[in-house]
Amino acid sequence: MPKITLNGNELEVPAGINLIEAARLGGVEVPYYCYHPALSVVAQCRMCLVDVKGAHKLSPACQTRVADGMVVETQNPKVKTAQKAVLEFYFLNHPVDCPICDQAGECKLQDYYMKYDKGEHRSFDHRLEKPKRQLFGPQVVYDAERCILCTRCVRYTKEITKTHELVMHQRGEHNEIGLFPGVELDNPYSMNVVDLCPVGALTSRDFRFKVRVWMLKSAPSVCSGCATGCNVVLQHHDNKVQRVLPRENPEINRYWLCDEGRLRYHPVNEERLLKPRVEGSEVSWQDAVSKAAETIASRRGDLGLVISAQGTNEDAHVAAKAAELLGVKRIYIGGRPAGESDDFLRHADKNPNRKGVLSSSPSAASVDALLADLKAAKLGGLLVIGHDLDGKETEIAAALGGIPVVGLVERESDWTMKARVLLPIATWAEVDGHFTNHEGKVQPIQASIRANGESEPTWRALSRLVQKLGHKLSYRSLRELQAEMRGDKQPAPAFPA
Amino acid sequence: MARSESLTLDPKVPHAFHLEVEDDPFEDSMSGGGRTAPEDAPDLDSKPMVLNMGPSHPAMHGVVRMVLTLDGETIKKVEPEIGYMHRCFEKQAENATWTQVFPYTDRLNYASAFMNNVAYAGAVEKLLQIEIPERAKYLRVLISEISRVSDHLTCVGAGAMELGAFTVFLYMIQARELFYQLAEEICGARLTVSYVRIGGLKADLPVGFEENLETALKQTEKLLTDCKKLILRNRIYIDRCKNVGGLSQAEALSFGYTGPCLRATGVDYDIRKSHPYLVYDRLDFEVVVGSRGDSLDRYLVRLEEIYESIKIIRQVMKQMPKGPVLLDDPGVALPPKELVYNTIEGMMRHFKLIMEGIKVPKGEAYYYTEGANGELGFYIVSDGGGGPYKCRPRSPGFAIVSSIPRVLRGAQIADIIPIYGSLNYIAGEVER
Repeated sequence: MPKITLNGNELEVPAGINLIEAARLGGVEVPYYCYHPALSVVAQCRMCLVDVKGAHKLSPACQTRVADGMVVETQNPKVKTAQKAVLEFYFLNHPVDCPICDQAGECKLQDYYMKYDKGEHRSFDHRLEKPKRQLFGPQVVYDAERCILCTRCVRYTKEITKTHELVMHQRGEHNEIGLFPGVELDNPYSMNVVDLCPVGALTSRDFRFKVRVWMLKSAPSVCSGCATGCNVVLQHHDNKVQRVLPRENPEINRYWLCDEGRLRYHPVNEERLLKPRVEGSEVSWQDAVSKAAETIASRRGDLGLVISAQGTNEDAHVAAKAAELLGVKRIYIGGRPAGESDDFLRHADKNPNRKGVLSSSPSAASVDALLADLKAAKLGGLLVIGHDLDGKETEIAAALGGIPVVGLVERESDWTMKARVLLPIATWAEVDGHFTNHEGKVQPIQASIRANGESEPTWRALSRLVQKLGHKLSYRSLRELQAEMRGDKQPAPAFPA
Repeated sequence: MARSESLTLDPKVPHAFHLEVEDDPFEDSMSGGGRTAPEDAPDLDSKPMVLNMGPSHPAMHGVVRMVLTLDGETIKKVEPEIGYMHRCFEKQAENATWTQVFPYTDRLNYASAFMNNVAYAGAVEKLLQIEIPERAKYLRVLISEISRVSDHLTCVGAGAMELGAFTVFLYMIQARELFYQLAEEICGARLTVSYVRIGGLKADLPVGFEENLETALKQTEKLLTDCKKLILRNRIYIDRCKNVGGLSQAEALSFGYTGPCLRATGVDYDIRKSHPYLVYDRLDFEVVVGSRGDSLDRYLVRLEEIYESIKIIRQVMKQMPKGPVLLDDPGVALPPKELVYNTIEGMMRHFKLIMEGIKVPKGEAYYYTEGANGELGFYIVSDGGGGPYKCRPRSPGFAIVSSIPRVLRGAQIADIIPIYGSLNYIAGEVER
């Protein structure tokens, strides 16, 4: 492995990496704007200039590969002067937008100014004005005055999504990023440019002016949009999820998220069933559970159980046990109907945990089978977990006839008015648990906000109901449930404490 | 330099007062000690009584509870209980930026708020390794001495009131009022000033301050002349304070006393002279030292220190150079508003300094000053972030409170008043 001298210290680094990564391994920060490990290197921003002994000019660290015996200095006076000069040029025409810019608090211009510049403004001319607040697409807003022309977004649409919507217009100081004539930035992965943009030039329409970033708390989780299981960070404030950011995972989603998955946090906050309902009127949990037990016991015929492909592995385990205890012979699995897929991140199955749920209940049949069984009057009662039924909610509602139905749902749906009792359950953003993606990878999710209203995690709501029906199914905590699940095997993956 | 000779009382006043009464059964004893029953008194079956004093008590300065075990009027044992004023200063400081801690420091020794600000700022500047401008140093000395005077006036005045000399109290509060008005002129607040900033001060002195200051000083000197006569020619005051609650030098040192309580025992230790900070090494003043270490000496040391502080204030106003009062370091000081609204650099600097705080390099520092009650120091630990990792004030009152069981033992209940008042225990700084 090549050995380099970084700021006077010897460092052994893997061959082929650039000096930014080498410095990172040595615990030294080299500032940069345009470099990104997933994009091509262009050395456009000139922020990462470092002093490599022997070169007659400062070298951009993103473009310089390590070589054995290289001597690099990242903070000598020459480099410091260059950093100050580069930043000063950026600030000459930068608008004084911090109070209204979404990026404030996570802006690389602000951070690098205080770390590497702290200089004064020296311009004599009128500040250049460029178009602001341009709508590039349904999700992305562009502000040309704030743009530092690093071209990360242009390279992204060229190399990652390969949709080529963004180009560089004009020349010199009049440079702007713009749309290729006739197109909109509306590809299914458009919002990643907002993450990529180091300044507030590209901002998310969904997040615009919502909340200041320093007020957000973060929780790691897994997207519930489809079976790919992209790793995310849920950022929340005031007990509402405010935005979703990608978590780096080189095996699943690298640095990216699809727009649909990113916006899947909205249902968490909106139109939730907050209190238990018996025949439309709100009651206490205790009353609702009693009534639900009565409803199920009052059926004349077989009990059917519908489980949800959106539930966690823990929910599925409890559902399987409940089915056993209640003597259920007909289990069905529901969820969101299939949707678009591509060869990048999106999977056709728009449920995060079908594989995990099926591993607890392999005999679960489809919603079509449920519809058929209902029409053939094979079921005397139905216990439904989850409001999504593969898009066939109205047909199911029609086919239910008068059989007693109990629903454990997070919101109302086209069939829920047919349920005698509705118990509110918590969404994926409000519970700890695990999702298994389509490849079989088990990933932990962490609760970000407290369960809205009186909703409970599915496993707890279901076990309460089964207990009321006279069987033994209770867990004092999720940990107890997880211990039972693994028996004597290794514990499931978890976030470090 | 010691000045114990100036503390001898007016020789015309007798030091002892004998009550010539025939067949006085208590003729042996008078002030400062227990009364013993005559030998032929009947042997009564007696037990010590436990009496609770405080935490809410008109004579308890601040809130402290004292559980007294009494034998008649004599205190056999005292168990002080503190904690009623604990407001989690140290924990709060951990959740604030460096600049946001200043209002919390005001409320430590609330009788002399400026000095807390100065000590805290000194500690942070020590870690930052920055030097504040000359004018700022002089001004910090000025405000420290102004608040020292306020504190001493409060202590002696309140002490006198509790012993019955109400006029003294009112005169001293009138003098203190002048200093509070000066504080209000300087920074807008009388008590909770938050005038100091990392790197200097919030703003310069207002126009016309010098004249107002001189008027206040002259007025104070006049009031103090009257007050001194009212106390030192007062039989009751002397009898209640002299030889009451005294400690020896060795005891005082072993308890960890600093400040007027230590100097009253005769130890010549003042941090402004022994370890000069700011510009005290350029100023000419004397250290006031007592001899007996009793309540009277403690009060008189404070009274004389007011005169020394006035001397310092006058020198500072003469010597102070013109110049900035805040260091022009972009990592420490907020930019002027024209820059904030019109340049992106000013905007970003303002934003980062307020939202994230001044970035102080990792390390720890302890900076100590002569507070009104003794060594007031701040120990801070920085983890490189925008706020303290730990900020611990070393309060002079803590050592004093720890000695209360010793100082009050053997005294009578009535002696608690002068002893407690002269020790000047400020609950705010002891309990934080």
